[in-house]
Amino acid sequence: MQRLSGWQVQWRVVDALVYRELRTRVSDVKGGFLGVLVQPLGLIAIWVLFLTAINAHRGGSLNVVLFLGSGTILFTIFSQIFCRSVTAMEANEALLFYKPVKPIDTVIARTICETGLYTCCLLVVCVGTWIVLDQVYMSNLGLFFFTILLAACIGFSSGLIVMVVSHVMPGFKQTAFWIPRILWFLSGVPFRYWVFPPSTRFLFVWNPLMHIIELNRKSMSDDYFTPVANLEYAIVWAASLLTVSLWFYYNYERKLLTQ
Amino acid sequence: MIEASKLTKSFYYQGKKSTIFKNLSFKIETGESIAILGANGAGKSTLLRILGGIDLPDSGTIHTDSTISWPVGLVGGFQGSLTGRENVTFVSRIYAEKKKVSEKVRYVEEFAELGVYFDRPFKTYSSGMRSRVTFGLSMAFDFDVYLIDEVTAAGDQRFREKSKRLLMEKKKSADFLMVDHNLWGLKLHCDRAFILDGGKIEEFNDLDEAVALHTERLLATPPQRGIEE
Repeated sequence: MQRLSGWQVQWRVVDALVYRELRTRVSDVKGGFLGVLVQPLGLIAIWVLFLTAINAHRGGSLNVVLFLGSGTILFTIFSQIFCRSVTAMEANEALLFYKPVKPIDTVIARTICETGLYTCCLLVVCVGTWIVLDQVYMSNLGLFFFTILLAACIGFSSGLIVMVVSHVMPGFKQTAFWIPRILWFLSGVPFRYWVFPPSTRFLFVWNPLMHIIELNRKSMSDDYFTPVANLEYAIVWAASLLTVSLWFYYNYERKLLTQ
Repeated sequence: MIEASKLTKSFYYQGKKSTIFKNLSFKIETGESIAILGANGAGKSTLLRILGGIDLPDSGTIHTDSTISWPVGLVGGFQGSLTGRENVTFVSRIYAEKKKVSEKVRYVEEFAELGVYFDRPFKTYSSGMRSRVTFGLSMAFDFDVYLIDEVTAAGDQRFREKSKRLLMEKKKSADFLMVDHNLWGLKLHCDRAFILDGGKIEEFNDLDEAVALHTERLLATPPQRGIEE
């Protein structure tokens, strides 16, 4: 067999895992790409109806569908990677029999798939809104995609940490599934942080996902007013979390590979 | 060449530590195929996994300059909802250059002789059909050493004959590390034997002698399974 460098091996493994993941996630049995669209679009539809019914949309100039689409889909990218990483070791144990496959590769592949699929979902929402309402301006395309990348980076890093912790301390798994549920409220997905009393805003402002989601909304409309959202803060969070997660994984990889 | 030095492996279950083997050292030269004998639970498959780099020992080292296969006939890595073709493509993408992937898939398709079933979900396959695909996939790649764990008894007569011929062919250019309770199969493919018993290893240059001793021990005394601490 041909000898390859570590990067070449990892490239091949991630490529194969992405192929496997896409075939599984977007299989005909599950309705193809439409099956992937159903969950976030359903959630957006329910919240649109709810917010419209109680007249509670506080997204300013941004259309309610885009407001919810941005929040729901960016948060879903994070939560899908996070939740699937909790059980990643049991789910992928058999794959580790193929020696080139390492646990980190499964999280990388999942991050690529979820980010790709849900970015397509968000684009479908944007194009759909543009066709129906002619209200998409996309004022900053670079920021639009960069915020998606940041959400994926935070999902990957926290997924890596949670995979290690869940393997070392199996009792943590039940707790881990609560983390995205709590963060969902603290990320301003259906409501913006400033609809809450000022004394509670500190609960939202620390959260990098809230900043990322707000910046993504801002990228779709220049008029979208979001004074607290800070790109540098989100970047520092994402970079720090990535560094910590890689250090954590590096130190625990041997334990993950030992049965 | 595979050189193991002071390998120790243990498992924990409900806080209790069971040492499977302790301080195993041996050397397998290129050109040698080894039969690993021992009672159920003696640690044969564990040793095979450690030599293949799939599991890690508690302590000790392994040095090798050979490429080592995954356990031949491994079903675990296959996704039930994917077809045989998709599963084979997945593994081929890991081990082969992109331009050779379709060649590997074709090889497995021809070996497995499943016809239209090759494009049906793997979870719908019978155990014999699974063996055909997984064995064919293992043989589609050229490794220096193949790990063979209880695979020669799978499938129907035609498949067993076909896989026996293929193993004989592979033996010309590769070595085997075999675990099998079918002692006849071991005699056919291996040059030397290791007996794993009570966490220790005994090496035999004469395969017949090893098989005879192993059989005698199995029938005479209840086997020792690891060392509980």
